[in-house]
Amino acid sequence: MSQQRIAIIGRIRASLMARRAVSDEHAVASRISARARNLIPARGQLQGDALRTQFQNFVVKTQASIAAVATAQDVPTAIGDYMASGGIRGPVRLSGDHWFATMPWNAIAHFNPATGAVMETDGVGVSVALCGIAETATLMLTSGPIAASGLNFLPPTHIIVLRAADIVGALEDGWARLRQAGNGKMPRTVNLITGPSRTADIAQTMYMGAHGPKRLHVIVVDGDE
Amino acid sequence: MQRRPAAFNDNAREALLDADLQAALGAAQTGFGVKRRKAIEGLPEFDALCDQAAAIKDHVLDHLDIYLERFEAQVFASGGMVHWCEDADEARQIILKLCRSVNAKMVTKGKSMVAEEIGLNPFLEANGIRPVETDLGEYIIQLADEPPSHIIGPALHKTKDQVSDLFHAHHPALGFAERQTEGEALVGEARAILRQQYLQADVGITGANFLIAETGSTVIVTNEGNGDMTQIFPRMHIVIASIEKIVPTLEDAATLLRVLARSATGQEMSVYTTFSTGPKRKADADGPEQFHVVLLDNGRSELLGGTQRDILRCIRCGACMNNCPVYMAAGGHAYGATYMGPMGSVLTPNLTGLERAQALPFASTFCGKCEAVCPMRIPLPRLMRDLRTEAHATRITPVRERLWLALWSWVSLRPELYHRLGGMGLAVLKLLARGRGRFHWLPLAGGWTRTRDFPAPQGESFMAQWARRGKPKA
Repeated sequence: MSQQRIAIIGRIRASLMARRAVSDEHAVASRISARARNLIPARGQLQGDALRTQFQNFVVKTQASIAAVATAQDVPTAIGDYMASGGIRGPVRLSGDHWFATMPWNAIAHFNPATGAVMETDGVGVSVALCGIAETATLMLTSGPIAASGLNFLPPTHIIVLRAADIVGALEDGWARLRQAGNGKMPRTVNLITGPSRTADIAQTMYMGAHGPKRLHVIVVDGDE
Repeated sequence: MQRRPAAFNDNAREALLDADLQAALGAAQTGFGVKRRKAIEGLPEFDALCDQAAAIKDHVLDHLDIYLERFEAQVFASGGMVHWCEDADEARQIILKLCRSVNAKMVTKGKSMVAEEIGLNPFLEANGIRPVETDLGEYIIQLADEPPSHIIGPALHKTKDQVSDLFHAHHPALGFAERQTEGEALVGEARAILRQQYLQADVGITGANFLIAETGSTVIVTNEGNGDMTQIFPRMHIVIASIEKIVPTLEDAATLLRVLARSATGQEMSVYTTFSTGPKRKADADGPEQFHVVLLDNGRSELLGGTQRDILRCIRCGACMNNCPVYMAAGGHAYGATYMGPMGSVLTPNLTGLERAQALPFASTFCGKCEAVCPMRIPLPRLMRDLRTEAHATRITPVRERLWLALWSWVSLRPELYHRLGGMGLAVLKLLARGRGRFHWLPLAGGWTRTRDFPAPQGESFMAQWARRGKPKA
């Protein structure tokens, strides 16, 4: 234990004592293990169609765009259509998510879709979200062996694919998914992404694409378990 | 502009005459207020959330020692290291040691006010390590060799033309010969230049908006994505954070996030909120090999025991300065310290000693707007008033000020004398005004009359009229 640690903890205890407060191990332990939810706004408690509609509307409000497809088989074509309509260039870098392995990428072979390490020359990054949070149209992405966090930031266009069943109401519902996915263990990185990169650091004017992606496109897959 | 809090009055005077600064502040003032108001209108539960957010931080402060130990244990369990630092020098030394352990030549930095507080950049430079700021605002002021003038908009004081000049002065050497004047092109130029830095840096240093005790995670909130690239690509990620940033659980972080962005920029959520827990796992596709959290005390553990403790709830949203008439007139540099505006006027004297910053708690009109917009319910005017009282009691305010106050309080405690003197004063002023209604000049009031007229009294005082007319009939 470092000398500095002892000194800091000691001063904190002295300060608490001066206020006649005594920190309580049990209070801390029970608060952490309870993981109690605080107030969740009404907009974070929607379900069914209202949940889906709000998610879609809020995605657009964050300056991102959104499309829906019937099945996972339609994802490559949807990506191709999005790129063609916006004049967006490849190559397309896919995350290593197993879901992508089931999709017919030859449909957009001209955009050179491939997995592997993200390169500076990649035009588009495609990732899978653990969930979408309708409260603020926030996408939750986690890092891991099959998902590089860098893919979410380096290419100028970011496409996030999301199962409709993974749209949840509040950030707290997202935490529940996260704990479930990791068996209670946190991944190295959890990215909560709400719209494309932007800055207002030059004269308080908003410009898109500061360092991260200039464009964010969300594809919701309806018919997938 | 002098970089010391004691110079606030001189700095403010200089700031008011700076046309560029006034133009930049004018642009900021209207934007912030409107955006925040709109965001809050969209969330009826905002006030209740603020109450809960404040309660979370109060709870943490009541058990801070235990929460810090918990956090440390969790960082350790996820493969990271925690370094405890009592002051700025210890924090600088440990960061240097960490950088040298991987032979770092260049480090990228996400925006961190704590890094500003410990003066990290000049220290690294003096030791042969080049720090590169990646937040666009921080990058701009690094080129200008200036400190941040706002905690969330570091280059708020710069106009677009000034940014254009700065880039044109520094970027031709990097292959950008043409002078850009459009915002879009300026952003693009910085984007292209900084991209290389992320990929080449040996170490990425970020701050933290929150430290989660439950998981040992550090949290950054950005709109640009710079902080993320800073911590993804280099071999080592160093987080510098002060001890009061602790939050118990992810659920508690959710509550704080709901009030943070709305209060700061008027967004419902900032674009990137990133939780980092330990270094990359063995099989991970990317991420740093080392994860270090540098915990800074620098006076906060003592602040915790005193009457100014409420300032430790601050989550650095900047709403208090965005809504402060003094900040919006003088700008952030006038405060001569790392933290500015109302929260800075409270925090700076508490961190550096009141005797070195006694001018700051006086840099307020006590209009109360800062307290009204603070999502953490920090009673900023009360804290500043207490500091003023202390400054007066410990005789560190100017002698002239104390003499006048003593005289005034002596007279005002003697109502009979006070009214008689007041009446005489009115009569004399009325006589001197000779019916003109105003003075262009008055003895002892040069500070007032230099820039505006002083209205001449038109007759009796209110008290005198009251006495003459008698009580109104019920």
